[in-house]
Amino acid sequence: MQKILEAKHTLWLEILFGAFTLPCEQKEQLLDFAMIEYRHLKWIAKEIVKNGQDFDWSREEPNTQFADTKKLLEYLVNKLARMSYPKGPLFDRIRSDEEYMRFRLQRLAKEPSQPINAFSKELRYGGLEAKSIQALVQFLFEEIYKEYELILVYTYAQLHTKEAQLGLIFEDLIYESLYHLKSFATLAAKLGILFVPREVMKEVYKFDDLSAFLQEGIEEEMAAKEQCRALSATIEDEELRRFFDFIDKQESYHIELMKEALEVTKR
Amino acid sequence: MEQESPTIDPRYLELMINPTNYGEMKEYDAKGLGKNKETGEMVVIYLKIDPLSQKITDIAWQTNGCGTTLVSGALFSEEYKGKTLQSGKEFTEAVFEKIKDNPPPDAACGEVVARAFMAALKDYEARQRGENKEFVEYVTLTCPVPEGEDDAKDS
Repeated sequence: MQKILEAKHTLWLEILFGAFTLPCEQKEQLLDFAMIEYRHLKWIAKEIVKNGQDFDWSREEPNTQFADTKKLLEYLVNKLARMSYPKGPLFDRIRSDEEYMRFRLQRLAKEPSQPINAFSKELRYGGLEAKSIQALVQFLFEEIYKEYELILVYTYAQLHTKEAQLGLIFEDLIYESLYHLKSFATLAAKLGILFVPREVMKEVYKFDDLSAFLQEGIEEEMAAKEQCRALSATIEDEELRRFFDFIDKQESYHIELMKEALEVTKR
Repeated sequence: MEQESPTIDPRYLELMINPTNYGEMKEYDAKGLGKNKETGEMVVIYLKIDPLSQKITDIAWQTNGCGTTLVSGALFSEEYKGKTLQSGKEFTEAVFEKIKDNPPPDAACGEVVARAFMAALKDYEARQRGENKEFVEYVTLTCPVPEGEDDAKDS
């Protein structure tokens, strides 16, 4: 099952990061499929835990860099065809979902192809000057990894907790990070610096002390708020300024959720 | 109006996207963990060592750290690969000397990588004695060592 989980993890990232390289309508379709793949990933991990075993977030190297949209979509169609699962209700569901995905992606692959610029390293964003771009690039590199890490940490923690209230808080925190990851990766693609975050080390999610993890996490979120405020003050672009103010305010409630989780762990 | 060209070092950019030697090593001869208690940053280093020449034949590392830690880890791992354990140790000691004069956040990012390497050396020595422990070294040049923390625990 661990091997299936690893293949599913890779596929989820390939569809998710593939989505960020596509034009609007195709992107929305792939983002929906990526969310389904994430749920598959979580369900497979849940099965492993239910069987009294543990899992890790190892993965294969995701393949996301393609010259044009047709090549990416064809790759995903072939990749989906190569996925192999055992028998059972969960895997019947997964097979059926992926069969539909293949059908839809085959259709999308027949649409006119467009070049992919998300990896061009052009480092241009509207009329943004060099200093703002530098600050933005630094922020995106750190936060894209951090949001991916948080999704994996909270998913792992959620699957290992028996405390219902904690499970619900983790669910909220996962939704928060999925949205932030999508927003930041979309910006990175516009700048031409899209990248799949590096693998998360086991020591990060297989921790001994949840309270300490949450406490450190709260401090990290406070630092992220500072960064958002600094970016909002530095960047001379109305849309980006408003976006970073919005993320900054989101982080405030995010911190409240983490404090609530911390309280639950202390009971 | 012509847009200014951003001043981001292309090598730095490449290392952030594809850090050299990054990943987990499943079978290793030594493993060390560097930690920064102040920031929660960690670096784990895995080494493959030739027992006769004592040369580092392969290295892998991972971190949850910031961009500077990522770039430091990539560059240090390139340095360590191919060195003997002794010259790796000398290189690391030189790093400690040098980063003492750097501003604290940047120094801590380099130090956490160097600490992981020193922990891996201790792990290698312990393995030669047949001991099985997890070695952790803490950032000390820029942050205080946490009280009551030992640098090794049974694994």
